[in-house]
Amino acid sequence: MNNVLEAKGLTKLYGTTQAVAGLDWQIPQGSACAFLGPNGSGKSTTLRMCLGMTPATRGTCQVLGEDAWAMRPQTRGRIGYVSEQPILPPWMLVGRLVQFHANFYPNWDSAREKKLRDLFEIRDKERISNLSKGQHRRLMLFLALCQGSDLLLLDEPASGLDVAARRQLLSLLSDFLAGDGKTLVVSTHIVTDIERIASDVAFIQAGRLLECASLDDLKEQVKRIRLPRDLVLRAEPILNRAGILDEETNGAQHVVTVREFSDDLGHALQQAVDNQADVLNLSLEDIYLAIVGNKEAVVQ
Amino acid sequence: MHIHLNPSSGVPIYRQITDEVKVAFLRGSIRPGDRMPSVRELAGNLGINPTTVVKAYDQLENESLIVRRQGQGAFVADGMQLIHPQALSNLMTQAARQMAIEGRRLGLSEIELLAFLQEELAKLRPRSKEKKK
Amino acid sequence: MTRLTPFYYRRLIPTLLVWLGVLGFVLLAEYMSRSRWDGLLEGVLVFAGIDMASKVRASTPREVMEYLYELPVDRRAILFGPYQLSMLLLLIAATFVFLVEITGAVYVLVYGMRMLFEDGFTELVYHAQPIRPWLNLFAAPIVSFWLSVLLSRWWQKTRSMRSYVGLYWFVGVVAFLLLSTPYESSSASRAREPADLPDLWLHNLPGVAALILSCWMISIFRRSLTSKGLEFFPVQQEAEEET
Repeated sequence: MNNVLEAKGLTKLYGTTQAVAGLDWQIPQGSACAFLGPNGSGKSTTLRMCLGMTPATRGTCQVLGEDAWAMRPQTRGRIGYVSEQPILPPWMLVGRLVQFHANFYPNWDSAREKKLRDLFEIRDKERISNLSKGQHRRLMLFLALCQGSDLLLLDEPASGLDVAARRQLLSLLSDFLAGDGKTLVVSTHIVTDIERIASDVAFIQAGRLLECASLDDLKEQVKRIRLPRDLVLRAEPILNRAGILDEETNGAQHVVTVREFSDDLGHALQQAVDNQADVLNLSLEDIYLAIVGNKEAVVQ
Repeated sequence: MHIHLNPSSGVPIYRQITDEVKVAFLRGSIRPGDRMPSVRELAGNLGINPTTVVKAYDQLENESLIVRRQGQGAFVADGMQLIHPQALSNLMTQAARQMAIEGRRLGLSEIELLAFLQEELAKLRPRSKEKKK
Repeated sequence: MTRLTPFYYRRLIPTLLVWLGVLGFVLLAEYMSRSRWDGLLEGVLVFAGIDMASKVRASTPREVMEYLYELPVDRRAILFGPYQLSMLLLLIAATFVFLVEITGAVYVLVYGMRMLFEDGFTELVYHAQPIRPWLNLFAAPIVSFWLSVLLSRWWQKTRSMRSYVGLYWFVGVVAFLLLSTPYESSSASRAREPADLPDLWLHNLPGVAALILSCWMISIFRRSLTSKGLEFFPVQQEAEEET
């Protein structure tokens, strides 16, 4: 399958500050990629470059087969974007904006618009400046979901939404992904939400991509191993083969997080430590902390 | 069929689905010939990626537990009846392992661990039966 | 008119009111005055015209520009949109004023106001040369608009805008002088009699000085506002964005 997004050495400098530092990233068509990183790690800037809202200082970014900065309007029309900030014109009425917006999109999905209107509580007569932050975001999501995009880029879509709305959003995104060849990229620092929907995850920190892998693979490969402290020496050669992300000792217990766990490795390990090792599954949040947190420690 | 997911459990979601489908069968809530929810429907209800559901259904189909019919969707296969011992042991092994690991972490002996298990079993026993005894 | 027009027009209304206010004031003052301070008024007006276009952009919040960039519209169309619209409004206003002049409506207005002023005032008004203020009031701002449009594009590209802005103002001053020269009126209402070049310079000096002074003041004003967080050129502000 071809890539919807392809960034090579993507770099953005603001003065001397590197917001994005040589990012290499591919997103195949049909995937749902969670773009995770701490605040200020360059997520928004990367998405904005992918959308051609701001030019890259160095490197290239191909989106839907075109250079992002030189993208034709028709191509941009195939991308839906929800920014982190409320960006809709505050002086407009909701109904007028929906009309104005729909005008630009030839694939505007009126059937879906009708369906989502109630769900998103779209009230035509309301002025956008009177919307709460959550309502504003809902309106942005509503527009993005109705415009019939092939690629949906969501920047922190869940912030400002309550639990029920977030769950609803997941259902809608699921519905979006059920379409033919639709691709979703969600940047977020709320990891738990995205765990349901993501097929791939990309971790970014300080403008660099640390990891980009399938979520299922990550869950099978990143494991936390707990073993008695006195057995560490015996386990070490095997653990080293698995790539240690993180290591700490709590009293008599030693806890190691490894990147490349496998069944074979597990057998070897249990043999070496006489079945004294516990292999624990990790949630995406744990994996995120192990990978991103680890690099942070190194930087510091 | 009710499917309960715990996305942050560390077990890949498609595996949770296949397990839940097996549990649903073992509990008698689905029978061979029943229609499985469509991919879109199940994914939408659970708020998960449709490809995950596809992956789970592929897996179930590979194990001959469901069959897909062109244009009609997926159905519980007769093969489901054969899963009994194997699936049971698979599902139970996981839970038992969890318990064993936790027991070891807390430094419990085998007997103590079994005592806990028995105690919990006693709590779950229906009261009516107790009275009859 | 583009698909973006409904978006921008509301932004223009407040600007338009200010603009029409300045316009009316200067128009009347031009007809009524005998002083060499005409030049100053013209300078102010030229500046107001120039500033109008950027005000439309300035009054469009950065976030909202972001919304526009996200739409499937050519980036150029977005940047040029407010200028196109202000141009359109200016042309409408210019046509309106022109009609007022050729139908003599302005004289009726001024005549009606005659008791407010000294004797013989209306005499002078009747002799006014309509074509010159018309051109001065509108041609210069329109030319300036497009210069500022082009410059704002250069600005984004090069970021070394200092020399361009210098050039811009230089062109502005020259245009101002050139426009003043050929339409120099010999009518009695005008203090500025046709004259040789040094004399013309002398007459226009206040205006030129006012022009330069107001640019300078505005640039300082802008810089201080920008440092307080108000954004005039959204793209320029990207550097201060989240990193």
